[in-house]
Amino acid sequence: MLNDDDEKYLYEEVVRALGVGNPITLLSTCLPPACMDRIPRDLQYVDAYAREAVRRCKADRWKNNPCWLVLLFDLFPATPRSMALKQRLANPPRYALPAESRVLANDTPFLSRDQLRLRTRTLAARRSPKPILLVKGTGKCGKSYSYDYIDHLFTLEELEFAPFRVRFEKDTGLLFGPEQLARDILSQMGVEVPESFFSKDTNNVRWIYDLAGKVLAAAPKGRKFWIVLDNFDGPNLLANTVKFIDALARRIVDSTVHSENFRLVLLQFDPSHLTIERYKIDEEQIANVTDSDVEEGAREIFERFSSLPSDAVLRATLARILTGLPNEERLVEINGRMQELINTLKA
Amino acid sequence: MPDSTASASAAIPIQSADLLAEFEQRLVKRSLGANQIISAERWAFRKRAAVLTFFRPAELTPYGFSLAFEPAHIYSLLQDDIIPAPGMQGGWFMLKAAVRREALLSLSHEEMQRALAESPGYSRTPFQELYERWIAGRPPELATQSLEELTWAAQIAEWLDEIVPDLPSVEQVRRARDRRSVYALFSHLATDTYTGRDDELEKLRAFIGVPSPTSYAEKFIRRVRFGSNEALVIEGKGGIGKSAIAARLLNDYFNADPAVRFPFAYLALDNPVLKIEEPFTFAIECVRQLELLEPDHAGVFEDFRAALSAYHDERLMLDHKSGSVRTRGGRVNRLNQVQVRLFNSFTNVINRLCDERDSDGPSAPLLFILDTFEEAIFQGAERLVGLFELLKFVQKNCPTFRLLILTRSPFLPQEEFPFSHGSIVLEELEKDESVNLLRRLGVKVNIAERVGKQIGGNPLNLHLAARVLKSEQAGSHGIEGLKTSSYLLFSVSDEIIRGQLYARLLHHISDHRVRSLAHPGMVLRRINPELVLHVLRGPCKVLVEGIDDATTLCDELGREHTLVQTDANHGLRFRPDIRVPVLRTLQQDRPKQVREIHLAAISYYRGREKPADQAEALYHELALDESINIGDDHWRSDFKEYLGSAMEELPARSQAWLAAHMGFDISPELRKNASLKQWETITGRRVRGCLRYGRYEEAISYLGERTERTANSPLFAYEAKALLELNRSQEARAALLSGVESMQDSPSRGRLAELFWMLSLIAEQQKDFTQADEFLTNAQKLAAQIADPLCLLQILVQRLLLRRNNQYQPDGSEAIRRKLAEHLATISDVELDQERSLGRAAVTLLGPSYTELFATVLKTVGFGEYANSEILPWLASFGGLETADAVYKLFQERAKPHRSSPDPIEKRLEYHIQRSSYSKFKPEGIQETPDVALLVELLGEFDSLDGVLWAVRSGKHLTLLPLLGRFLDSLPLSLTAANLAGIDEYRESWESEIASEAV
Repeated sequence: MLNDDDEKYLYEEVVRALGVGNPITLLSTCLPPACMDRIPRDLQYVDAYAREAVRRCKADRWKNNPCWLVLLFDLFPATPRSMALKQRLANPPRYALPAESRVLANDTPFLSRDQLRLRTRTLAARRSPKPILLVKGTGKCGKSYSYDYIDHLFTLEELEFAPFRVRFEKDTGLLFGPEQLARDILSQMGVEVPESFFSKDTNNVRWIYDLAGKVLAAAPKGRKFWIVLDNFDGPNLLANTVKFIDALARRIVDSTVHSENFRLVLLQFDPSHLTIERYKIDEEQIANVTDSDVEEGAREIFERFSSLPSDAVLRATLARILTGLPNEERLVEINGRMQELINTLKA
Repeated sequence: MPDSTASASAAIPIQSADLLAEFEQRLVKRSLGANQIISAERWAFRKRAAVLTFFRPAELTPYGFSLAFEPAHIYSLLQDDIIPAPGMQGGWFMLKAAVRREALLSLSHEEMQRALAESPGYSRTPFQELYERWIAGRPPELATQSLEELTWAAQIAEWLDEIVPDLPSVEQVRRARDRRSVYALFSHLATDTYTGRDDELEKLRAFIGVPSPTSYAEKFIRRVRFGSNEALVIEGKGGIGKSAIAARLLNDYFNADPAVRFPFAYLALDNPVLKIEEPFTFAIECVRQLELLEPDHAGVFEDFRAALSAYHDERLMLDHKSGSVRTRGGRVNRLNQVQVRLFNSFTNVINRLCDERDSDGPSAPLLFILDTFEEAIFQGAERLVGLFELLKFVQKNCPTFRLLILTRSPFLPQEEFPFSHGSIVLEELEKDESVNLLRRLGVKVNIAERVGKQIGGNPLNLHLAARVLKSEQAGSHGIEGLKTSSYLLFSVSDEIIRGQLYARLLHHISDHRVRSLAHPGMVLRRINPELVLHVLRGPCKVLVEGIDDATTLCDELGREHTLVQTDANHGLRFRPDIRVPVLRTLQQDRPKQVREIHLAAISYYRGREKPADQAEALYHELALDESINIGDDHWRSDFKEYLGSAMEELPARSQAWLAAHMGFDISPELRKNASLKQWETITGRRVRGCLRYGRYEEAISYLGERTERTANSPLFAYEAKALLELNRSQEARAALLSGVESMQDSPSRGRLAELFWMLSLIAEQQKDFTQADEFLTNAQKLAAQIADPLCLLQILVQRLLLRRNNQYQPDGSEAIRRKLAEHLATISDVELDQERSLGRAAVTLLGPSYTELFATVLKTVGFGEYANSEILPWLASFGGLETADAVYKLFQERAKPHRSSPDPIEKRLEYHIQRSSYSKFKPEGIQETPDVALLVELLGEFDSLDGVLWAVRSGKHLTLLPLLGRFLDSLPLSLTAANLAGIDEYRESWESEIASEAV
């Protein structure tokens, strides 16, 4: 529904807009009572209100008309970017087979990845024997796009589980311990907890395991989530954070309740840290994107945003996308060029 | 795939030239990127923010500017430079690391200090204070810092690296942090007040073979490094100080000379990620710690990780229904081989660490500590086999490996602990040591002597006594009114004394309502305002005026940290080490009140949905000895973590009930108390443990404890499995037939199908193919009524496999193939994805003549472990492509040059060329054809056979299917070692606990 850039943009605009007065009063001017009922009243800071408002509106997808996200745009002055985004969000995109699409609902290209498409459906089953999915691949091969795909399925109501992502940022990794990860997960689930939630009553090992259990147990009743942990890897990743992720995985695998309510998707995580038997973990090894994948994606982009052009134009476009690709970050470049194709057609 | 009815605005015809021009323009713009010019204002804010750990943008002032800026302007200036501060609520941000470093580099040291001094009202958190000390060039000693401080320091060091001179390097700080993180696992167990046990510490050092940490004489170090390759067990009562002595030993070496230090791993078995029955979890945790302690040996750990990855891959292959192993015993053997390879790699880690530590001296010892070992003993000897195998392997192959076990008494009997070992039984502290400890805890010397004499030398009790003495005056004999001997003048147990001390602590709670809630409210394990209102108010006779009042009471109780901890559900939990001894006296003194609380708690918790609540309802039912009325459907695996510690609080029958569900072993006496169903569960678990390690006679012996079985007993199948491995197939058959007889009218179709499946395997083994097929036919009838289609799939595949035997060629094979095809077509890809090897087996038997089905199913299940390179040597053996070189040449000619995989197919092909085994393959009748060349070409493009299937699925290249079918047909295919698929819903949860791929 919203890609990262769009979400960040919208969030920042809402933060700015709410900063001039009482956030609840301001939000009430644009959002309907049904939405306002879901926004907590006791948040301490403007950015928390902005985050909650965007999250709740996004979670409602297109269930209401106009969709709640669109209403948020009334909070701030229109700009070319906001108008374009608002227009895109006005109506849900239509797909014959959402799971097979090569263009996601947030207008991001998503090529190939047949394994992920199948594994996602397996994982979405109520009682999946493998509630953990490990997405593996080298360098920048598109692991992070897995989240966009999962979010795409949720947006189009193909998934019962609501996905959210926590990203590991190299810049903050050295300070990002189990408690910070727990806080991020709780926040994404829309759960407020007191500070005592994080108190260390037991030893370090047990505390990490208990914290993982507490986080899962704190999920709102009746809700199901895909927890997507992105890029938890590298020298800045703390040993205790690794243990917390292992504990989360163990908790989900061992519990009948948690294995029904949670899926854990690990994008780029060293599986040698996991103490889970491997037959309880599903894997996707990301394959190379081939020229045929690009052609398939380009055809779909043309069909979705315009109409299929002449063969000559299609060939010329493909040639432009596939020529002079760097060996490093090849997929990043392909996706960037495909995104520009989408932007061109949309313009 | 777009919807054909996509919005009308989408159907705008494209002006080709415009489109391509616009596209080109965008791509060019993209490749150039935006070269930003950083404004002076932005720089000023960057500089100010660079000396702050976290900040709120609106509160920043620009460095070197006197102008005031609107918050929105500051935010827009910095928006690309900042990121949210981790774990901080309320608009806190930090500079991106690269931006911070750039800003710091632009500041002189004095300017940094000025930027700090001029920052008005910024938050001086401990992190910020530490940052300022580093900026000032005066960081605190790394060795004295806590883990939290070192975590901050690691970040600060990265920010200031080579900017502020003479600071510890990033690597130094990281190492200090990592090392401290291992010590943080146990350092709290031996605080500054630790005293005594000098003799035991000396024995421990002698066992390890290390000198005292204050010794620096190298010769001495070498001389004492002989130690003992035996294990050492330290046992004693709870609270006596077993963990503390180990922690003290390790803490003593924290700041010791590196020549005296030794590597170690501290593993507490109450850590739930350590699975007793899965030794690899112990290896992972041990290596995790060693990696943090010994960072110079990165290569050693990399090797282990590679071995671990191979271990998992091989176990995954064993988990496939179809494979090359033809017997269950074969799977167990293969699993053992796989496991030994991992053990070997683990031992290599230890040996190399020990050897490389002292290149010119004897190998260093490595201390491997298993704390709270009683947790493992609880689970039964069969579960410990794998862990003991690991430890024996390491001990045998590493002379400097030292195994230290810390456990409550009693330890395992000698026949169940396969190590020669020494023992230290920790007794109470000597009187002088007790007094010393009390003094360290703040008790005056004359009182300490009296109290030490009064309550003995249990360290936990001494700690409690010191706490009591903070609120009470001591009398002439110590703490007044404390009963330390019975009326027969025998000393009362430590636990009774502890119970009294806790009760005294309770009585010092000033608010009488809070006091009453704690005692007898301690019958509950958890407490929150609702429980106060609905459960405790009546039995405890406390006046509570509504939920607000109850909340106030809970808040008050929450301040009594000696008694309560916070609970996962935001409530409170009585500390178990206090509650258990108090509960004993409560049950004796106030049985009626205790029962009332249990009943009120059951009524409160029953019907609630959260596992924690349901577990509490169950706990109170068990505590009332109601287990006879509790059905198995009351149990869920989630309860384990809530009820694991409750065993010792429960009456005997309830213990048997709980043990059956928890997977605990219990004494023969308690087993006699168990119902038949509970006994089957307890025995079934033990038998699985035996089957996993090939202890078949033992399994039969356990099964012989009782002859009767429940109607759907899982034990029939386990008995047959054990008997089969002992080559007692007639008895196995008899056990299965007896099971079939007892289940004839049972609704458990899955169990019955499993028995027929096993009977067919026995008949096949005995070359009675007709009978085997009859049993399969019976299983097929049952499978047709089982919801999971994989059960029927496996049976149909097996029926066709039977017919591959030349000695069994009955009519009807084609009908079965058709049935298989029909059935396969009804199975969804998601279902097939659960058992990919079974799907592969099915399409192998159907062959590519079922073109559509073959391609679709194969696309779903893929080639599994054969997807990458195994087809290359197979292709290389074709006529016309005599050698792998020819394939390679063809590959080079046809394949396209791009591929970013680190393990591209050409590399794997080179690997095969270097191997000679490929030439042994000689499938006849296949010539080099355009399809062979096409396949090689597609392998180049798609990098794996599974990728090739993508191209075939698209409707193209269907001519490749026969070739792929031939390849599939050449792969090993047998189901005779497999359990029946698709009957999980008929199994009990414990049946998947131990190595399900082999048992």
